Amino acid sequence: MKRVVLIASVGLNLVLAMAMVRFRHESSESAPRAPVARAMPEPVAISKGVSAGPKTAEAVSAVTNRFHWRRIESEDYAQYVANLRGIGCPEKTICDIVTADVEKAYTIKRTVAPFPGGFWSSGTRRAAATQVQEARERALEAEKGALLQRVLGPDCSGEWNEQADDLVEQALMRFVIGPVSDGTVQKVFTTIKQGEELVKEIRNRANGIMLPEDEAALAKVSGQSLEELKRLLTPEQLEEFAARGEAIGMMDHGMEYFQTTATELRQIAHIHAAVFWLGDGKGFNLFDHQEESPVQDKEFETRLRAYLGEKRFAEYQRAKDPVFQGVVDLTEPNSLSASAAAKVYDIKQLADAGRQTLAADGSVAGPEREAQLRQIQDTTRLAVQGVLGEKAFAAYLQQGNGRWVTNFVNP
Amino acid sequence: MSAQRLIAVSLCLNLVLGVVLIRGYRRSTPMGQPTLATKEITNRSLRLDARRSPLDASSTQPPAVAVVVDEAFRWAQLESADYRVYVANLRAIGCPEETVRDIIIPDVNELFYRRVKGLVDTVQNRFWEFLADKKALQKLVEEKQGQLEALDKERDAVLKELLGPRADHRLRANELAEIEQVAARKQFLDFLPADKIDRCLALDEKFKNLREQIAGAEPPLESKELQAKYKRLKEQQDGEFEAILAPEELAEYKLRNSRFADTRLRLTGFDAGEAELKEMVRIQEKFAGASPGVNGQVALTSEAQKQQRDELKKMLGVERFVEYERAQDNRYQEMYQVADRLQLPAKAASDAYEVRAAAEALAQQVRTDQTIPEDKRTAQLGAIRAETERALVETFGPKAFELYQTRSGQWLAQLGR
Repeated sequence: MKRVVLIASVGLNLVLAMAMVRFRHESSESAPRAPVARAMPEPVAISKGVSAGPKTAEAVSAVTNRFHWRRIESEDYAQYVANLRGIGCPEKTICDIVTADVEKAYTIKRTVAPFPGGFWSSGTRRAAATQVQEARERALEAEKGALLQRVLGPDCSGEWNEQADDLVEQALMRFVIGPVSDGTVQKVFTTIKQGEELVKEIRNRANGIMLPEDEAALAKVSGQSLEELKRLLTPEQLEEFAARGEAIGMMDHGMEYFQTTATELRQIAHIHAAVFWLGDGKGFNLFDHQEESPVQDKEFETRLRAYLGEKRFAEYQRAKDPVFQGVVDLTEPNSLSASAAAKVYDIKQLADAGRQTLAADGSVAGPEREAQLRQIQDTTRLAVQGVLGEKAFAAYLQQGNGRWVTNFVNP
Repeated sequence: MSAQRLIAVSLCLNLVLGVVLIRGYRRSTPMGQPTLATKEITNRSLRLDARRSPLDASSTQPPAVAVVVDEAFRWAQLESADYRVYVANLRAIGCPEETVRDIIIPDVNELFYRRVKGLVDTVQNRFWEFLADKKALQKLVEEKQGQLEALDKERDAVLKELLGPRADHRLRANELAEIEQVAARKQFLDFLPADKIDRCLALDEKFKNLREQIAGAEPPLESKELQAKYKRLKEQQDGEFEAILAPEELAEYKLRNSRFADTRLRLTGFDAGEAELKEMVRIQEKFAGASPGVNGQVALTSEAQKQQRDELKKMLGVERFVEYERAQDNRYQEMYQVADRLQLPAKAASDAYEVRAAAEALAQQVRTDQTIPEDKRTAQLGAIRAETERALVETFGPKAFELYQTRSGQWLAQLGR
């Protein structure tokens, strides 16, 4: 029995001694790994989520001697992406890291090559060198695009990140694009930006001289972009987006002088988009007015007249007249009545009719004709002055739109 | 030793070892702190520390929990609801600062985009209503603009706190612009040996930092004092820069830096050699330096202009001087561009230019000749125009002429009046 107790006790001693050694070893090993959290900035306020409720700060301290960024970095982008994916890095973050890196690498690549013409060159030699440089830059841009496409796939584009700097543009884009999902906003934006880049490239190459082949290339890019937009948006969404874009463009081109209801304006913008935008696929520079052909102009007016009716269409025409616009601009600062612009416009119509009648009358010529013209001018001047008052009339004459009042005799 | 004594000693040792082990364990585990849990997956380990920050005194969360997990490294272990922790974690695993910025800036932008979306989505469905009401739209724009500016400031403050005082939402764009600027500067200095280029760039950097320090001084300097300091810095920089360069290098630098160095960019279709171009700059500098400027612009007297032209003519020879002057004439440049675009020989442009010069001179003669009756004058001007158009079609070909006429042909209409 004593022998058994002795063996058990010695055995227990051995176990305890081993446990102690192991415990001490573990303690000494973990001691230097002080939590990095101590060195971290004060956590709390800058929450990644939008709802910033009080949260426990969650600190992750990596054991840096076991995992280091070097393990995932690679000269080969495909490997770099694979490594990032391998540790579960979200695709969006991979896209951010790699596009920024590639952008930087290609900026360096693009700028490091010296200008082939050298500093002191001119004329045809310089022009040829510029062409070589532009071709090289285009090739690099294509190479960059292909690389990103190859390693990241089609869903990752740096365009959105570039634009994300500008909150105002983001807001405007969101406002114009209409009610669609976030992902769609980004894809639509990317499609438009990429299209605009191609258009810019064609125009740059043309150097202000557009040949039929350039116009064809533009039409092709436009068509492709429109097809892509059709893929991204439902027909209703695309129509609404196009109409909103057109409405903003029209606001800088006379529409701001035409009083409409929201429904009317929407319908007009839809007609405009159908004629100028969706009709031929010229969906670029959404906030700039496109060049319009006379055929398109005519079609737009026909469709607009049918929608508005004769009376409202005449008001629309009036709103595009600088004579009318000039008075509208003076209305608020001079506390004029809302109908002042229409009255001046009507006076102008009467005066023009009077002049035309006089011009058609072959029996009146020379000094007599001049005297009659002067009489029409004086009557007109008094009438306009009566509507606007002294101060606003003086301002109207000063702005270009009011010169018609005084140029009857010597236009 | 008897077995009894051996048993007693061994039992005592049991007791001592047991007590030491328990005390040691207690010392390593403070009261109230849960036990560490270890999960072996691979040889990579990571410590997840969910203890509340010691700085977060207001928190009433339960006591800290520390967990050591040995497992394959996952990105999720770096993620945090708090950007400062996320950034610290990225830095802790050796993520380069540039990459930290590449990760954080788009992420913060995304956060603020959600807030922009919040601002816009409230009015999104009233788009047409606002657009039809100018005043309401203006009010909306002003209101939203203010909110967006506030967001911009907030975003910059967040980025500064996370990434340092120089960080803001333009950081990445600025970095790319700086890469381009440095590359352009290197090319500008490419006549220097590599070590001198490096010294010049270092000098640029040094003075850029000094200017930034002055611009960011607290309290801000008065405009006059600021300008004076900038001026002194500029003088100091020029002095230090000149000290790096040998005399012939400095001469080249001054030529390249001359306001007339862009002459080389304006010479459409005129190929001048390096020596010629430099001489053109020297001559223009010489006359400009001798003339009093007007509002910072060079204003040569007619005599000085004549002397300058004479010197240029002497340097280039009569024929090349004519080409040199023509190359800077807008009328020739328009013709040259059309010819170049349609890959016509340069001679087409110079011939067309001569046609125009001759036609305009002839038309002017007809206009000023008082002996020609009005009806005949009109007829003659019409004939000059028709003949000029015919000559241009012949020179350019019909396609290029049509293109030219559309872009720059207004003078042809005036020719007939």
